[in-house]
Amino acid sequence: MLVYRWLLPSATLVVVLLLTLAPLGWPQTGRLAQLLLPVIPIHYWSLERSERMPAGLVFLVGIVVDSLFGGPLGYWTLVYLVACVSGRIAGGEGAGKVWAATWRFGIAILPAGLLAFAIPTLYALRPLEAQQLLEACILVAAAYPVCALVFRVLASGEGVRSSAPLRRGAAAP
Amino acid sequence: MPVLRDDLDLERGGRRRANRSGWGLFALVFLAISLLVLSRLEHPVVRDLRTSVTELLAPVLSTLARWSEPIATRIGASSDARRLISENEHLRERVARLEGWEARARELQRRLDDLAPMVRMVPEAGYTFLTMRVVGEPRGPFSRTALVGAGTAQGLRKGYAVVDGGGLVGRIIAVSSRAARILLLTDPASRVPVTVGPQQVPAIVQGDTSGTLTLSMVASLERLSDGAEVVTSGASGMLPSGLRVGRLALSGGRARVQPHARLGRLSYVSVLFYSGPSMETGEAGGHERQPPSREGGGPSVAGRRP
Repeated sequence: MLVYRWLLPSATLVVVLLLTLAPLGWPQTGRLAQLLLPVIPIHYWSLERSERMPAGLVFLVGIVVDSLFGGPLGYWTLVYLVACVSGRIAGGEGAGKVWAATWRFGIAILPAGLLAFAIPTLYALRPLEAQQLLEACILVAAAYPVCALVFRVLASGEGVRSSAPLRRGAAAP
Repeated sequence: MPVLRDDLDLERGGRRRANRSGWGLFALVFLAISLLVLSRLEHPVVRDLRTSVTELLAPVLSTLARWSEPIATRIGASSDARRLISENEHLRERVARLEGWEARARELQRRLDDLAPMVRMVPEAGYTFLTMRVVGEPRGPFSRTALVGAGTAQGLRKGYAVVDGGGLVGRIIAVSSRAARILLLTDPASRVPVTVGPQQVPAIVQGDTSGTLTLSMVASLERLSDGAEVVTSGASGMLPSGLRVGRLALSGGRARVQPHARLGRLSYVSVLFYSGPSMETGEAGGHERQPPSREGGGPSVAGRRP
């Protein structure tokens, strides 16, 4: 149970990474959204259980995505790390509710999306066409509540309620 | 109860680790920014790291591509259905027209075969090809590159041209033993020397950030007509001449090229084993910087013949 609890965030991130890498033949907007998918588990688990979402793994996932899809190394890494930082900063009271997490994700996707826009713009010294990126961000934000619900069910499946932290003397969940 | 104590200890330990990892997180952010800067400077470390990761994950990507093929086919089929109906009608007309041209072309080929020996023409180098699966489709706002699940082990080399059923897709810019990266025509860094139309007007086809192709360095734009065929000129010595690139689309004084290759949905591509003069002399690779050689400090010239 302990191993499951601690490995769940990393395992979900790895599964989402595999989904990101799979060539599913989406149009360009869908492909961008696929690259933004890891932001969902990274943000959710950083918000809910930051100690169980190792930043090293986030970094590694970013390096893998950067290496496989061209572009400069560090680009998606930085976007994912920003999502991680946003999650950790926003974590706290009421974070356990799916709607609250979604609301916070809506805010967190802004700096991540802005960074995803700003880096290529600075790199090429001309503005990137932002429409596809914006649509991709909206798609990912729309997918977040469903994913958050799945993660919550997975976490509670082992009797762990993320909104009820363990206390000494309390009954075992 | 012991289980609960273990839980609590682990929780407490985890939170201590989390506090420590706060600093670790910022260190990783700094490292990511450093990698971005190194990538901009095209540092060899970045290239080596990218190659190693690609090499390591090539089998995983191949497996994922195999598994996801039925899903990709369904997604492609649903979005293609409407386009295919109108395209089908258009293709019927073209086939009827081209059948007439085929007979004419055969006649011209026969004449060429008769005349070529009389003028002692140097025969063009023939080349073979190898077809392979695309395991990493082009994504992201930066570059338009794709990964194929074959590398030097299959005889692939940097600079080789890549085509699909429609026409030119791009060329190989990086190759490891099990994977190769293709720079697509639509990448902003891609430049391909072409000729346009029956007048064979020389020009350069280049990609841009919007993912379309533009025609630049055209000798005389007024000589071009809308819908003219754009083919490789072979001027760079890297690509064979006569490969279909696309069709010219003139609008508002701007010349764009509609690619024949289905760059948005690549599933299988063929690599042409064509070693042009530039590749023989080690000039292949175009804009991609070569690592400085340890002896001379200049670009490495592997494979130069005495």
